[in-house]
Amino acid sequence: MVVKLPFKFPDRYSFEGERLEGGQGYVYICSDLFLERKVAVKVVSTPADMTALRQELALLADIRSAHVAEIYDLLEAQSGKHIGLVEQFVGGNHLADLVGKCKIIQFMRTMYQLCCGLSDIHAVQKIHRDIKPNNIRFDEEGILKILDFGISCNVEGEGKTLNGKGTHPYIAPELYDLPANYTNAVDIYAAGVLAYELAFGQLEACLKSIPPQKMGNPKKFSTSPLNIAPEICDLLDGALNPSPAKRPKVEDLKRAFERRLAFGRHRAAVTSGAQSWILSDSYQSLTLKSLDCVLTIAYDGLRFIVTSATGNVDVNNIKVKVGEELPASCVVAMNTENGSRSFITIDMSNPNIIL
Amino acid sequence: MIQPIYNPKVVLASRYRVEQYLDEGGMQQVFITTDLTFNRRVALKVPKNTSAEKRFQRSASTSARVNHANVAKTLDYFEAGNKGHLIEELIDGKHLGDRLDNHFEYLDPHLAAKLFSDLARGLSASHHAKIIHRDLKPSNILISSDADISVVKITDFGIAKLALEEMVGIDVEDQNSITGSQTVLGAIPYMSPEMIESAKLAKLPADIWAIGAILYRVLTGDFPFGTGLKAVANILEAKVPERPQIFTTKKQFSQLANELWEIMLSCLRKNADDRPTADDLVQSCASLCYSDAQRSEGEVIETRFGSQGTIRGHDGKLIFFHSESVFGAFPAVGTRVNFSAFPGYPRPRAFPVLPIK
Repeated sequence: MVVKLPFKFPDRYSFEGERLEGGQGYVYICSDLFLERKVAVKVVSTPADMTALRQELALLADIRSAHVAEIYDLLEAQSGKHIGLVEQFVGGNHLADLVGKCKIIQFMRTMYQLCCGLSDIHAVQKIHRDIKPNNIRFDEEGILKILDFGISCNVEGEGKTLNGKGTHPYIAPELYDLPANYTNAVDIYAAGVLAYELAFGQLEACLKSIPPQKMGNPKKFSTSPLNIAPEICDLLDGALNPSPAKRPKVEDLKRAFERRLAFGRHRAAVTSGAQSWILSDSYQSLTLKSLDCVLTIAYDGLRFIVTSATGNVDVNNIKVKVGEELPASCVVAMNTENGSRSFITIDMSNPNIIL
Repeated sequence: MIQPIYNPKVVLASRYRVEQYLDEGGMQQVFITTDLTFNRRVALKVPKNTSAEKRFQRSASTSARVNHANVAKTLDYFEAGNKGHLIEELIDGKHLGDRLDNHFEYLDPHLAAKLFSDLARGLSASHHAKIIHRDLKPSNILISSDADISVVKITDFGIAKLALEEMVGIDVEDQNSITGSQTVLGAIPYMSPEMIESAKLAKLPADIWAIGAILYRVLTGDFPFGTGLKAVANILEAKVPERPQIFTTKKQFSQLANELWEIMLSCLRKNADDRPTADDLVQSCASLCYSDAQRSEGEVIETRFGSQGTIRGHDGKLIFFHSESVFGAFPAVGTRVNFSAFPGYPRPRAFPVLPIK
């Protein structure tokens, strides 16, 4: 079957027959002859309120993120019936291809990048509204890109979008109530379902029912064969909470993934007078002494923690507490009984996350 | 006197409204414009002279082939009045060259590591696309104006090629012809030995040399081989610059500083084949550990015992600092500093502290 364009695109965009199904209609892959690169043109029916759409697109076009596809141009059909949104073509693997064969490192990197993208989107008070595996693709460099924002237009073709609320089963439970309560927690829920699919290879009935989770709760992430770190499991369990207020913020998710991805690669430079040490995965614990003051700090792969302290020891002039995480940069003061004070500086640093 | 090609309010291609003249490079002028379709600010680049125009489109599509967070995004290209026009994302800030001239003397190892990691990643993405930049220098590195330098983007891919073509035929002995070309003069300190011998020899390792030279500049505030024609002889010799004393005297910085130094040296190997690839650099950066805590700027308002003092942040908050945490000489009252603040009592504590202009 020869695929035809719904309206004539400017000559600059040359269509060679490749059409994809997007969340809100068809996406036509074209060559931009001016810049000699592929672009994706998403065609939707012209919305009743074009001014509102323009405002919305302006907001989308302004998102600065390494994980959100770029918007280049807006085409309007002469008939006035359709518009075409010209976007960056992302040509690598689909996230959907990972479902059922996802390894833990892919899981961590994918979810981390998704959280980075969502964090950039939420930072400009925008909600994606249609997070699902089909809307996420990797580019040639393996960088995850979020595509196909749910925009407020009518749906062309056979999208399974529920009045622009997203796609089942990624639609958050509260959106089935009327009036629908729209917060950025709907994106967190969708990310949670997506994480579940990656972690377990499939969705179970309670997540697929409409509305979801009325007939029982999903398995805990800690039972996934991927062996996901406990602090990540807790946050992802929270992402699937039917109550939007109880879901974690994307920033917390992002930070947790970031820290775990850097596991065992943090360092702390400890300096006392002319002496210095580097605490790391290969040198995990250090005891500092000055007369009656003793302090032991240890690295657990994620954090630098005070594991024991005796005597009058301050961290940044605040009395030290055993079990507490050290501030990322601090001065330890040992106040000995004979009135002398000695100082130790501890500066932590983070490794790059390689994607 | 610079004569801007466009005046404000001119609308191009029925879509881009010129707001103001921003900057000028060797081959092009840059304007801040409003993209009327999406109501966003974008950068417009226009070639300065007619000889460059044909090649301008080629360079635009070269840039457009690289998609990476650390490479400036090419958004559009059109022709108007017989001239090619390139639309690129606009960064809130100028380029690294401008920042080094007017703001920073140099960067502390933590900030330098952040900047260099971003450069290595951007370069590796372009090298994967088989694109050689050929003209990496601070003025081709766009950075945001915040204290964190949160945004770092390489720009002007392929423009380099234009510059190169202009260069060929220039008599290196002829001071006038060299100084006559802004592009060439600004590029010399970052040019690899093989590039000086013959521009055609510049392959991927030439870019590695260039970011090594940029790393030196950023860490020390100085040029690794000097400037102008004097630099040419030093570059051909690839004489390794001496390690600054501060790298060993400041214990809190020495590990990271020395790791960066080793990476820099590896980039400045005379034999192009001995240099690391951009992918190698990305891997080396992955093993670097640096503080990415939020930065801000302030002013030293008092000092005590010649070893500690107080910074007033731009928000009015007072922060304690110790000379050990300063990457540089102990700052006098009135010195402006870039720093991160950490919880402390009675005042937060600053680390690192970087004196700025």
